[in-house]
Parts: sequence; structure tokens; C-alpha cells
Amino acid sequence: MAKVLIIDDNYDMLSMLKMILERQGKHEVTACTDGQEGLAAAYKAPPDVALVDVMMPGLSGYDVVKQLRSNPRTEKIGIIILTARGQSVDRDAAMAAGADEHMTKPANIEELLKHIDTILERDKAKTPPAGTMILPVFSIKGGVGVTTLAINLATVLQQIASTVLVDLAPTIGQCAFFLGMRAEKHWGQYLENRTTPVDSLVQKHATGLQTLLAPPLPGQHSWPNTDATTTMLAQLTATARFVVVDMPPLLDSTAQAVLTQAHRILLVSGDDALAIQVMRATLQTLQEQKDRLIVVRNATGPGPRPPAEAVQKALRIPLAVDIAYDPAQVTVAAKGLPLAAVQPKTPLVIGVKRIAQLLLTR
Amino acid sequence: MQRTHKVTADFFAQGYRVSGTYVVTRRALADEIYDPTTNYLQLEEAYLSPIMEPAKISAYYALTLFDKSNLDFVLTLDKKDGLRRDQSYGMGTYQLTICLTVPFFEITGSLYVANKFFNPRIYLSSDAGIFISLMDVTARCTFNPDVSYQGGVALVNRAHISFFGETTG
Repeated sequence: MAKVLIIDDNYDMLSMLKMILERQGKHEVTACTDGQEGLAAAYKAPPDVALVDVMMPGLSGYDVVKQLRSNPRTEKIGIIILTARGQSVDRDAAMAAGADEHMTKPANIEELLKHIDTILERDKAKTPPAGTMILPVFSIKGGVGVTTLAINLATVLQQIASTVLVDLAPTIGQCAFFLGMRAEKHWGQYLENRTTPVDSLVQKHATGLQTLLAPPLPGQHSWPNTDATTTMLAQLTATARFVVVDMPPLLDSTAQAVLTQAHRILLVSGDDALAIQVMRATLQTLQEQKDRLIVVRNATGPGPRPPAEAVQKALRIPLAVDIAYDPAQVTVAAKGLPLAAVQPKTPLVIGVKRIAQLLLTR
Repeated sequence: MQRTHKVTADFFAQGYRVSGTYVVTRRALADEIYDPTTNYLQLEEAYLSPIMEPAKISAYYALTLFDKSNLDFVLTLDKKDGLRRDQSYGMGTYQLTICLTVPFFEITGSLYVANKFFNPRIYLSSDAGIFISLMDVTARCTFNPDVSYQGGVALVNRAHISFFGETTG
């Protein structure tokens, strides 16, 4: 049973929802007919979940949500926008205002009750066990070995504690390709049905590595929004100590949400001038996260490299780990195996182990 | 006793989106819109948004009258809310994919016609009614293609159409 606050100016809708949520959902319901009244009720006794209509005279539903989110007493409550405005722009606006879910009237009651349960479950999962870490591996420039590092880092961390590797690629996932897996289950299925438990979509690799893969075909699923990503990661941290995220080379709102949620951020740079320039720009953008950054240089091909000192000078930040080119990676990747699982003493794996050490000791 | 229910739809006119409620008493929303003998449409609880900021509610009116001839198009999420009584018994046999433009919007959707040999010129100039019904519609804002609206039915004001293209050939 949860405390539910309903704010809707339509009296018939209000009474019907109140009755259904009390009888079917066994929830304790407070009903308010306008935004101001609803805010006052929420501040007085914060509910677990608020159902908010958008189109109300005076304070609109978006304003109500923004005010609930800006008050420390109500900032963490679950909020479902329930409106006749059912366009994707309306959904985006609801999410941008801070809602957890957007539903179109007339509401499907079963679906509404499910959404309330999902929010309540998610709130429980939001308190991760002590020591849990979300670890995105990230570079705005592609081709610097982000996926390779993410896979091998997850493999090394798996030997320490329960770990999940998440492939957040918005188009076609690379982790499945590198690990020789078929993405039978993937996060796209969670986007299709937000009541699906995320851990039920985790697939195990032959080495025991747990993976949440990206959809196998491009264009079938949109890139998860901030809310979906936050919820997915929150659910995974409830079951795994380390969640390693293979990030796409993007820095949009979803990527920023992952970086904000992260305990440490592994920034990967290549050796060429463009990679270093991109890294400099990334470092400037991520100023606010600088205490959580671990900067790694990774060689993805053979040949001469600029000295580490020169790179550090250009980046104005010390390289935490400098990984040399590892030809073994190419042969092992072709077999769909993480290098760390089969050749633990190669340069790449030694570098990844050093990263793991830093993560655990910092 | 007269049965009533309320239909919420989006009404687009001259750069504005109005989400309003039509109280269905004697006839459906589409029948009211198609009716050539009335000029105005009455809505309850209308919320006004500029189309460039479709989620921003800039005004609220408890009661609104629309001049139907000034509407660009009306969009309903649910198909049944956007069909005329006669259409609810059956549409034309042939489905055409249509792209058309009205002020501020490019609209794509399916048009059902009775005749296999469809002639847009004849259809637009001679078919009865000031609106046409498109099914499964996406209306994309001309000045911001990221802003788009989907709906089960769009009732498009024939007089406001400037480009009409058929993509199914």
C-alpha cells in the first residue's frame, strides 16, 4: 500500500481514480482539484506517488511537477503525468518537467496500477547497496577502444564482485559483436515495456560475464531517455556491485545523466592529434565531474606514439593509466572472448587491472 | 436520456495548438466539423499553446468558439473520435499514402478512397465537404521538424492545403 496524491480538475475523473486506487490498488489516496491545493497537500504530507493532470486552470501540471521537484520534501516522490495531451512532445515535456511517467487519458487502470508499482519498486531499488559503483567508459571520439576497455574492465571486476556490462550504443551494439553473442535480450525490450524488470534482460556470456546488450538492429528503438536510463542503471545496481557502461560517443542529456549518476568516469583517449583535441574539449565540458574522472590513454594500433608527458601537457591532466598496443586483443576478439578472461598478463589486461585497482582504492 | 461523452482533440490554426474538449451529444466531433451548415465549433476547457512550444500552456479558456473555416486541421489520438458516423461503418477500399502541407505543417497519412483511379485534382476540387480525413497521421512542424504530432485521424481543412502529394503512385 502506498500514499497516492491525485491532482486533477475534472471531478469525475478524480472520484473515479480515487475509488479505483483505493479499492483495486489498496492505496491511501488524497484527491485535490487544483495545482495549488495539490502542492499544499504534497508539502504537508509527501505522498509516495503523485498523479498529476496537465491541463488545469491556474497552475498547469508541468508547473506542479517542477515545484514538487524543487522542494526537498517532495523532490524524490514518484510522479505520473496523466493527461489527455498524448503527443510525443507532451511526453517529452512531462519528462523534462521531472515526471517519472507520462500516461494518456483515458487511462488503462491495469497499466496505471502497474506504473505505480514500478515506481514504488524503483524507489526501493534507488538505494543501492554500499560499495556499488556505476562506471561509464567514455570517449566522444569513436575508435579509441572504449568497448574493448569496457568489456575487459567488466571481466576483471567480475572476478572481484558481481558485475554487469551495459552496452548503451544507440544504433547497433558492439559488445555483442566483440563477445560473439546474439542480443536475444536487450534494453530495447525494457523501452517497449517499462514494467519489465531490467535484470531479466541480462544475458550471460560463456565466461560468466553478465551483459545488458543493446538492440541488435539499428533504428528499431530510440536511444533511451534520461529517465529510462537512470531507472535501468538503478535497477542493475540493486543486484550487481559494479555496473560498467560502454558509452556511445555522444554527450546528450541521456549520456550526461549516466555521467552524473556515475561513481567514477573512465575517459579514454587515443594517440592521434584529433583524439587529444577531443579529449581536451571533453575535459572542459566535464569540469563539474573532474573529481570522478580517470583519464586513460589507449593505443589501438601499432606504431610510434607521442610521449605520455606531451599528452599530459596537452591535456593538462595526468594520465591515470597508459595502455600500450596489444596485438593479442585482435586475435582474442575474433573468438568472441574478453582478453582478460584468457590472457591475463598482456599489456591491455595489465592496464585494465591497474584501472580496477584505482577504482577500488580511490 | 441523452448520452454524452467528452472527446479531447488538438485543434491547429494559424500557428497555435489548442487542446480542447468537445462534448459529444447528438453527433460525433467529425460530423460536427464536416457539417457545412454551421460555421462554429464549441469547445470546453481549451488550452492554448504556440506550435513552436507545443508543451507550453499559454492560456486557458473554459469555453471557446472556433471558426471552422480558419482551422488548419484537427487531430484526434483515437480513430473512433475522428470518424464521421458514415465512416465508422466503413471507409473507401483503396488506401493511398498522402503528404500534404497546410500552414506551419507537413502532414502525412493514409487516405481511403472508393475509386481505384484516384485523381487528386478531381478529389480536391469536387469531393463534398470542406475537410478531408487522413488516417494514422504524422504532422511535422515546418519550422521545427523535431516537433511532430501523431494521431489516429486528422481532419484537414481542404481550403488550407497548398501542396498535395500521393506517394503510393
